[in-house]
Amino acid sequence: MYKAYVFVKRGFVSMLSYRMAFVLTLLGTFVGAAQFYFMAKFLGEGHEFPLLAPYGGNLMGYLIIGTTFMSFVGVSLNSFQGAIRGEQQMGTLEFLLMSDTPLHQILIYSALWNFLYACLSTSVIFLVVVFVLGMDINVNLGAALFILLLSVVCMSGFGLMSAGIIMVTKQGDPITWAFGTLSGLLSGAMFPVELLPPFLRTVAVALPPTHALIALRKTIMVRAGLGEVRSQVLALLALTALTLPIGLVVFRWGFNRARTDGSLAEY
Amino acid sequence: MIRIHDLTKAYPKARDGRGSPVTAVDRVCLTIDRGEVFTLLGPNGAGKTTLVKILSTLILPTSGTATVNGHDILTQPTRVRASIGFSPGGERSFYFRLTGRQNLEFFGALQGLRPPLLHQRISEVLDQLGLEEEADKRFMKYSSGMRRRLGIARALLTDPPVLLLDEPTASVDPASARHIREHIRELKAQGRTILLTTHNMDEAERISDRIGILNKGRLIAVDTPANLRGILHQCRLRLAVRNWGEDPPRFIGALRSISGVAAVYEGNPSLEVIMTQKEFVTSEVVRLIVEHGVEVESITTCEPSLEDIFLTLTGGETSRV
Repeated sequence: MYKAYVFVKRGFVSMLSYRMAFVLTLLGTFVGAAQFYFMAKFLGEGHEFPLLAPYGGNLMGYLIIGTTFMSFVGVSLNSFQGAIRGEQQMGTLEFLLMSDTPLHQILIYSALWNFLYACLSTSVIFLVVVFVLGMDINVNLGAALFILLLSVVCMSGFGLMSAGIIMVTKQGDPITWAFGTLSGLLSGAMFPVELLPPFLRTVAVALPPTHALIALRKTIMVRAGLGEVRSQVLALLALTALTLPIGLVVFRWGFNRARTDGSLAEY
Repeated sequence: MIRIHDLTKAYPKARDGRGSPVTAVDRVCLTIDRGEVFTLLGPNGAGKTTLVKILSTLILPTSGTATVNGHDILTQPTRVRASIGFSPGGERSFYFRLTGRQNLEFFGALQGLRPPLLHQRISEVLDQLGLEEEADKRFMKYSSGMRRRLGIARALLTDPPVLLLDEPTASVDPASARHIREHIRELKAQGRTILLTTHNMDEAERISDRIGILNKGRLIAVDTPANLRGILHQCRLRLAVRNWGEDPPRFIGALRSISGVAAVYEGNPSLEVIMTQKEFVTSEVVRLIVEHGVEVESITTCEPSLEDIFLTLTGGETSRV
């Protein structure tokens, strides 16, 4: 736990040292949330959304959850490769690898700060949209947090693949691009998956965010329990069982390739 | 303490991805004893850092192996890493926004140290390296010398028996370099085995028990600084001439005819005699000075420098790997 603490402390101290950037990021997030609030108000005026019925028909909640969840997609996809790239640029990667701490722990601890930061900013957004802007929610907090954590772990398989590839290519990997783009377009972040043509809906089923978003919206908007989102939980578990081992294999391959090439510290 | 056997690191092509295959470390065999300060000396690109990184388990060798503190780098990398403290060549190996103390806390925790031992070790190494007063400044405010010292402090956190110091005085001012050399001597006095790399011949000569000269990945000589000097069997005699006498060409010719004189270089007002038999040649030179009426202000003898030896051994050519 102490190792996790020093990683979080490092992130916190660094963040505080860039105060202006921190404040501007937070302001940007508020502005983004406000945009979706007013957009939902504009679109929802006098309209019904049958496809949103499973989520209580709440367009604003639908959009806010879709947007904020995409930041967790970003955390899962980019934390590992971002940590490696950041350490390479700081010249610290070799020291981390030479330490007593196994590589997989280093990656998890590095991602921990990003995850906490995303949780913090998401919490702030929800506090504002619920208590200031008056958005209706009916949340099952325990179930929502479980789904969120499971989703992050599930998507981390793709993050590991991305990190393994970035260790070899140094910049640019097709995993992040493909997963990020497809998730944004097909997983139902901004509109229901049911609107997609059938062949794209098949692709959407293979994406963890599709299941995560359905389950999160139900647990946050209509207080669904885990039993009610059982099929999404099972889908996320199945995808985790598939992608996490592949991610570990690809990452190990990239790491050993960089070690053989002598290019661990290069970026 | 460190045993290297037939170690080779070959890259299929140059590190920039172009060019022909490169052998960065070529069949190196070496044993470094406990408590010894061993310096790998060589030009940039000679393979020094690659060799140190192989010993640190950061790079996998193509063939051969090595043991550090009795542990094999290929089969027991975790134990090897627990035995060594590594200080890197560059200045960018810390978090710039964190203070020196916060950096040490971070890296110490990753090494498995926990409070209160961690904080005790941080205070000890900061004090040892003379950084206690600067410990709570952000790393980005540190001078080059302080950054190097913090690198050594980090390497010492776990009190390892073996230290690998890559270019510990590169790009620091002379005063800081002197301080760092003093610290290295103190670390040797504590019984640690130290392998350091440098391309600074003077530094290698000052602090090393033995020196290995690395060129194009090959270890071309290993010996004490004094014995390496003996490789040349040459000595220089420098004469500061006030008056060349009546017939300077005849005097120079007589010098060149002395048995044991390899060469005579004329300057004005100096003269340099390269000799292979120091005592005999010196007395002959003195005799000829008197005989030809030459007046000299001073006569000095110079041992060959490490640079002379290095250039002799490498044939005056070096290359980048």
